Amino acid sequence: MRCGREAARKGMNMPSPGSRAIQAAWPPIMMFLLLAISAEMIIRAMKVPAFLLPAPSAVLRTMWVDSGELLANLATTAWAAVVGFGAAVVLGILFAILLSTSRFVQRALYPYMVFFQTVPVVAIAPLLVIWIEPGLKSVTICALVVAIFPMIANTLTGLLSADPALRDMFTLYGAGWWASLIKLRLPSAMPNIVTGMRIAAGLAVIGTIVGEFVAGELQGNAGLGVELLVAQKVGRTDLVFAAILVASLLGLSLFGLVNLTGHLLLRRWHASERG
Amino acid sequence: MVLQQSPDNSTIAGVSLDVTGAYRTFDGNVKAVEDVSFSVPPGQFLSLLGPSGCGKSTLLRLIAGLDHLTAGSIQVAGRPSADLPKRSGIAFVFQDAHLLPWRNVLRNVELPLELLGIGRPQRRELARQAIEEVGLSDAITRYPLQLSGGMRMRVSLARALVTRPRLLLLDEPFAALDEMTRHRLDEQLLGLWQNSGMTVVFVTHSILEAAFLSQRAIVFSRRPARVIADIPINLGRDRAAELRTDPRLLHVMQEIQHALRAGGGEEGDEHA
Ligand SMILES: Nc1ncnc2c1ncn2[C@@H]1O[C@H](COP(=O)(O)OP(=O)(O)OP(=O)(O)O)[C@@H](O)[C@H]1O
Ligand SMILES: [Mg+2]
Repeated sequence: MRCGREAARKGMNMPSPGSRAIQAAWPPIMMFLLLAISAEMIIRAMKVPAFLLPAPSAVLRTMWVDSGELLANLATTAWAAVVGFGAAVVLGILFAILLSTSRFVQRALYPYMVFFQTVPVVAIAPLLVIWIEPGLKSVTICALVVAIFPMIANTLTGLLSADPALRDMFTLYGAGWWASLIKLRLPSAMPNIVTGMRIAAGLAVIGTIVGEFVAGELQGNAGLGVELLVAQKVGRTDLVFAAILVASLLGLSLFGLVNLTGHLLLRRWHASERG
Repeated sequence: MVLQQSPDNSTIAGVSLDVTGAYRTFDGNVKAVEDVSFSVPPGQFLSLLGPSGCGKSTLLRLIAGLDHLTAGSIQVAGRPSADLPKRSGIAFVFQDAHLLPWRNVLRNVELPLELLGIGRPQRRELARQAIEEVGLSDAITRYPLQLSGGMRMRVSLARALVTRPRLLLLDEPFAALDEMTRHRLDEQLLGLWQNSGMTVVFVTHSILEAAFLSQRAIVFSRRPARVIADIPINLGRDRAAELRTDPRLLHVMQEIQHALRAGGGEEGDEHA
């Protein structure tokens, strides 16, 4: 059995993370191309009007022709999503640490956290417009609000699941609260934190787009959500699709970045990162 | 007190352990330890045996001061273990290695010294020494995931020994290992004890292990744990692998076996 493990370990070292990522990305890219080509053929054959459903080639052309505007809006959206996500990660972890210190606080607050998680952001966004002026700030807060709950929940689970034997050992050697947090509980929670970050990354982009719908400024390059709304109003369905595509690419890259970070953090010690 | 350094460890004296009328009852009226008394002189190697679930781990945690007695007293070096200073020179080895998976071997072994506030150069040095003692110098930069079960347990042992404890508590430390590895580690532990003056309390389900390693075996009854036999093992201090097939050892094993039978603890429940 030990020999088997040894062999598996050697085998694992062979594909580099890069080639593994390419291997993983290959099938879905194929699938995407296949779907796009089929859609193109069907839409052309059935002569579907472009304002209803533009052909993929038309969307591609729009992405090229309007790339300046799309990129400028992407920058705004990406900024809000990344800042919202970053704030959600930092504040989420801090809040989870706070919750983990007291059983009472946990019991008192946890039900409300679950409740808040079920409130749709679209319902919160108008409030943000009332409290804060519409614009980048309220959009960013929207992203933060949706992304923070999975961070809190996952981090808290991780903090509370530190090995009891190790906690005994820390007690035996007189470790204080801070040393246990830094050297035991936070590292133990790292896999959960990474999981929380994966979920939060996607949610931050969704939160940003929804925020832009409701609380975005309607001038300048106010973000992909706003561009999407405007394009829809003027019947530019191709531009709507282009904006959607760019927004999902943003979500994907953020997710990819989190995955990479998680891999680098956990590869040496966590089973999930060792194939 | 923990870090009385000397090139050889023989100058570090073990401490005495006195358990007097110890009781531990958990919530819901689960009696785990009932009126247990025994005294261990400094430097003795003592084994504790008893049926599964009888309260051995509970007793060990009480000795370490990790849990509170319901009644009675436990004194380590003449002081109640519940309010011993943190740097009291007690070390604990658990059934599984319980290493920090995100730290390599060296940093795992360093951990106790780090928590005790020892500076980096000194703790690196002491950790290297302890790792060498368990024969793992080649694996110093490896991570727990890259080690076999036996190697992990040796890291765990090195981590316990790095503070030069005066009382070493082991809770079925090698139970999860195969027999060959266990025998090797038993011999290693024996060597480490012979070279130091520390007191050892060793919980095990293996009668052979208890007889081979210890100078004395205490056998407990079914839960709640009560002392039903206190068996001296006069096989000398210098022991080697050959002792395992010695008729005298067999005799001791029979004696322990009888006591376990009398207490209602057959070997049947060994692998709980
Ligand atoms: N924290 C606790 N709360 C309630 N009951 C407990 C607690 N810890 C242990 N017990 C109970 O005390 C009894 C003794 O447990 P303990 O772990 O000390 O047994 P043991 O002799 O070490 O068993 P084994 O040989 O299987 O390791 C068991 O019935 C167990 O369920
Ligand atoms: Mg036990």
